Amino acid sequence: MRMHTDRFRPILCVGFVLIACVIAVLLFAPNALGQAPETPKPRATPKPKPKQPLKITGTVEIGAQILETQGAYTTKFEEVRDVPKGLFVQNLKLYLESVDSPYFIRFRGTELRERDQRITLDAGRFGKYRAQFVWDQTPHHFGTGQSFLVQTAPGFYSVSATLRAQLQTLTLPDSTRTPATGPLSTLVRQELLTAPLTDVRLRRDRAIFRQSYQVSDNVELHAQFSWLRNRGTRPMSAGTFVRRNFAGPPPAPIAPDLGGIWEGIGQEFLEPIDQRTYDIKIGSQFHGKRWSAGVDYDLSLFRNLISTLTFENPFRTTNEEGCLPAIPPQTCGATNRFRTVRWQSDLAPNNESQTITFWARVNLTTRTQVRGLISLSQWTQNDAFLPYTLNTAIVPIHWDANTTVTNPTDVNQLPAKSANAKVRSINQQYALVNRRNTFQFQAQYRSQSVDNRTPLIIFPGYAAFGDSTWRAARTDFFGLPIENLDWDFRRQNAEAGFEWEVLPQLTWKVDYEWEAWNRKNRDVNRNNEHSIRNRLDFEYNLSGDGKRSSAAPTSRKAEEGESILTTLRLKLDYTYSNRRALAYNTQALTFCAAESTVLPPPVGGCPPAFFNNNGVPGAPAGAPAGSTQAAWVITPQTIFKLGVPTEFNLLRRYDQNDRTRNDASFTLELLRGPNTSFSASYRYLGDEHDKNFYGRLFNRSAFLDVEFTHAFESGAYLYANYSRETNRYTYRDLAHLLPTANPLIQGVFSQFPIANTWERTSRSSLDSFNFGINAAPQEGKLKDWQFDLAYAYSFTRDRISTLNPYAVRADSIIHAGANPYPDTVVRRQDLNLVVSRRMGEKYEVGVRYWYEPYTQDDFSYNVLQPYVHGTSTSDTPKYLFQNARYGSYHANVATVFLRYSF
Amino acid sequence: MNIVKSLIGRLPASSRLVKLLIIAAFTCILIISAGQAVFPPALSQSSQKFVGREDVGKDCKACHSPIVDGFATNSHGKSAKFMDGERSASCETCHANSEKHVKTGKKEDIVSPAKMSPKDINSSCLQCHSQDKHTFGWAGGEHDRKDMSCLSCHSQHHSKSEEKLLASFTTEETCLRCHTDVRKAMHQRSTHLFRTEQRNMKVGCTSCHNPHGGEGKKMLVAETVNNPCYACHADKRGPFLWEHAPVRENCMSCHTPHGSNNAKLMSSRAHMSCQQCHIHMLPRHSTTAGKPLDIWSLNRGCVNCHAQIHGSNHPGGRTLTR
Repeated sequence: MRMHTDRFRPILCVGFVLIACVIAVLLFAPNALGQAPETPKPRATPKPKPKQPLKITGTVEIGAQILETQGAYTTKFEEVRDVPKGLFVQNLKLYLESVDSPYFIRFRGTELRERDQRITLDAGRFGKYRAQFVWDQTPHHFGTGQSFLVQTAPGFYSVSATLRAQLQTLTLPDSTRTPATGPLSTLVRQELLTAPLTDVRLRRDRAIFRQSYQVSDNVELHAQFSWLRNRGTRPMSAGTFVRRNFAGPPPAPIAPDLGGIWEGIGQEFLEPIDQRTYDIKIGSQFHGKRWSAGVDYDLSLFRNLISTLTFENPFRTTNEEGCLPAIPPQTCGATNRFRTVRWQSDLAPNNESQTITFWARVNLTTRTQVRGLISLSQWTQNDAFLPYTLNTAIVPIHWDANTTVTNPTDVNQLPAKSANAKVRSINQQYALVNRRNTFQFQAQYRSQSVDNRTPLIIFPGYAAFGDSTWRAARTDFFGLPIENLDWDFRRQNAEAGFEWEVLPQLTWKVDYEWEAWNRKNRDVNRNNEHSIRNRLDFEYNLSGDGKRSSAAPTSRKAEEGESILTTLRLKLDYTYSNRRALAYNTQALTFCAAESTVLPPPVGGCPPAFFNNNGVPGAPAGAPAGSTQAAWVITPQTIFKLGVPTEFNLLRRYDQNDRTRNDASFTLELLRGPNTSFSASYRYLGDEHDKNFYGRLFNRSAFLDVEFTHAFESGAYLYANYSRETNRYTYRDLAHLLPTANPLIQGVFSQFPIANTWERTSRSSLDSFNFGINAAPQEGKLKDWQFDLAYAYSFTRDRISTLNPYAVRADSIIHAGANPYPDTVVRRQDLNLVVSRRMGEKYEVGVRYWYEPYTQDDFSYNVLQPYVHGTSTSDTPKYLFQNARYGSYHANVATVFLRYSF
Repeated sequence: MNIVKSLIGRLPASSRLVKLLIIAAFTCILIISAGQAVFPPALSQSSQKFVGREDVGKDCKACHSPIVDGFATNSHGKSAKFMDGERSASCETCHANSEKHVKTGKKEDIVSPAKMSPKDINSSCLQCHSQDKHTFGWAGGEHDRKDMSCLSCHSQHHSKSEEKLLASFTTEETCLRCHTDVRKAMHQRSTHLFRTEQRNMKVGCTSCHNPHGGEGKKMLVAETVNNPCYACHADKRGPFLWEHAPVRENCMSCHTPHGSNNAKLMSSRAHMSCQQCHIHMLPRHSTTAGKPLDIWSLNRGCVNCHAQIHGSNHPGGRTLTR
């Protein structure tokens, strides 16, 4: 049964009101304001000074600003912030406290009345209790969308019936291409010109109330209630899937892609968001002389007030079923997709999480500590299922003769009413630490065990491809049941290490780590990874006796007369990791070697398409013996294993397969006194996978970072930082043949011709430069002026290259071969200059100039339009996008502000 | 257990329980706290500790007036004034041998934490600050093992922040002083370290990390990688009917949390992220090298159709499409 979320609202309202009342009692209690208490006489002082009463101090900062943005898509500038025009209040602080009172009330507000405002109210009695209230807003702006779809009720988008009727009339039958300049496409584009525009934005509002109370010196209670509201819209989409190329007798010629057949292969819409997350934490902690312990309970409830989304298909007024198998097989499934009038999706379901955590630590000696933590969690979700489809025209038996589903729009024909999903997890952590002056040892064990207790539900099939067809186990999934699998896993991690001060200047640290994963229903059931890490820390006092400086690095200023030490620090860090899979589970596909000359019908199920002579006696050989004409195929004899991914048997997934990792870094720091520092570091992180397989082959990154900081005697502070990050990864993949290239294969079939292998490499780099100088009034210097300049530059380039190591087979789907991708470039600059002058004891005025140019050149977004439409030769299928996106812009902001302190 | 079960399994019926839980827990603590405020200190148990000492730093003030004045208003100074025993931090708590220094006035006669080794500084601070869960993983944790001292981030007498006696103005500035490689994330195409117009961070370092030694690896505030993510993204928590296993195991299978050159904090471009794990067996849906204008590479790539990539609860959502 679906959760009645509105029932919660009055409850929480009552809760809020009650809590607010209690806070009010607390805050306005006479003692809290320091009015009533009869202060006991001080202990030691014979004659106390008069008490300083509670007084109000504060700061108000108001300003006005001009904002100018240029560019076609300027939303990125205010993606997650609000930059107002005109008058605004940027800071407000009100403190009620006194040196002689343990009570305090502090109010802080930033960017008040803006979309990203934050308010904090803190009150309490020092050392006894503290209550804190936080209100925080975060906007998220996606841009301006344009669509036929108009939200007429929460979660329901409708399209003008007249337009739908017009478009349906213009729809061409079955496999006839819908031309880019045809009447339907023209009308869609024309109507979109006047379609309503929508500002696509979300706002995340969070209220937190925290309370802690010190029952005694040894016992503390704490509680926290947080409320998170996420409201607005964000882009989301639904697709009908693309199928490439038009079929013909094998080997088929390369024909225009089938994307052109449909009126629209997908629809982007705005996901309506109205979500709440309630989180309650209650805990207590205790301690003695040598131990401390605690318990915490956390209840988190996620509530989605709009749990379904339904939209009307702009192209349909009547439901229709997809192309049936009885019609020539090569066209079926490829045409008549997305012929439902209404399409429905389930949005994030309500869920609950409970966690209870126990922790304790004991200092066995002054140098040895033992600690442990165990946390038990349970997550549940039981939202009611929606029907398979809203398309009344689908008759499942047309697609699967054995199905028992007669009416897929009826929820009573589902095998269950809800998932009754439940996951339990246990997290544990235990550690032993021993620390001596020149030697330290620690050992730690962590475990995360996730047990999915959701009942297994077998579905007889489901509506798919724009809700026009019916997919079933027998016809679409090699006979494997359509069931939810329980993805249980357990992650264990044990570490042990020691640290030895070999010389006064040199410390050696060695760590060993073992990590194991046990997984259920995934490619690998057991992974073991062993890592060894070596670190050398060297510190040399260049201006002293060469020994390690005993003082810790701090931000303190050099005292007058203090000799300035120059310290050199070098750090070397190298970790080697080796991960191995106990066994990699794959489906048992058949290898059809190209050198075979068996005539059809082939033995072992190998189809003729993979043989030298194409299976035709006397025909010319397709490829020389041993060539890449070979393939892995599914044959009628293939026996599928349940719980093993239905994937190409040579694919190795990077999160589970064998991996060697090298992680090395070098850091140099030069510190001249506490005021000047220079550091440079370089790190290489490389993951190498087995290159004999498909999937990710390697992922290598390098990081270079150089930074200089200096604090001047005048109080000014300067910093400059440059960093460069490069990343390169390559993966190997493979494209299928045309659907009809392999007619002997059962029901749904699959073939993985080695000739169609392709490899893609991404080389990305990020150069970043930051510079800033800040001159602030400090300890009597620079009394009146404050100056702050910050500049940041960031440049990213991603180069993508793809290659085919072998000649791609002619009977392949379109785009099986490598095609070049243009570079993606993103450049961002941020210049911020603030100058302020104190005008007496209480006032300060200032000006600010902020300049932010942003350039984005990304092929994934550059060509987006509300109706992306391909031509007869184009690769772009039709898709109805909202076109809410980010692009290049220039922003200039000029501000004047006044700060008043009292 | 029945109460818990009903709370989880039958929410409409359990709404009263939730109401009771919320209200009871908070009102208990608040009323107890408020009681402490309302009752005159003379009658309350803790009033014995409300000594209001006037002599905090009295002997030091003659030479160190600005320091002592500042100390009186911060949390340590207040603890010296209003608390007793272990919880009271006076000048002598950190600056041992002060008696001799008062007599001689020599710098070398007093202990100064700023000139002590990290181990000694930390030992001094942890005398009082080792009891909270907040410092659960400090000993042997990443920062401890890097010989960081409390004074690397905090400054007792020269604090620039209003909270936590930080040596820098904000928590993030404090962290970025050492973690310079993360600074770039502030200006990346997509980032969690976004800043408001006033340069305030909404998702700061401590939203996910605990610098004093968190419960998880990488000093995370929670035991697992995903738990800090669910604090804001509870809609991704599930459990779902159709799960996407890598999502359940680790959000960072596909996302990079600080900042990314790609949209949505993706580790790689959307469709290229999917292609590294999916070649796909079904010919209906083949994976191709593709062209830039393919529907698979436009906009959100594969997620144009597989919109519920984090998990689906629809009976027809096996392929995470709805």
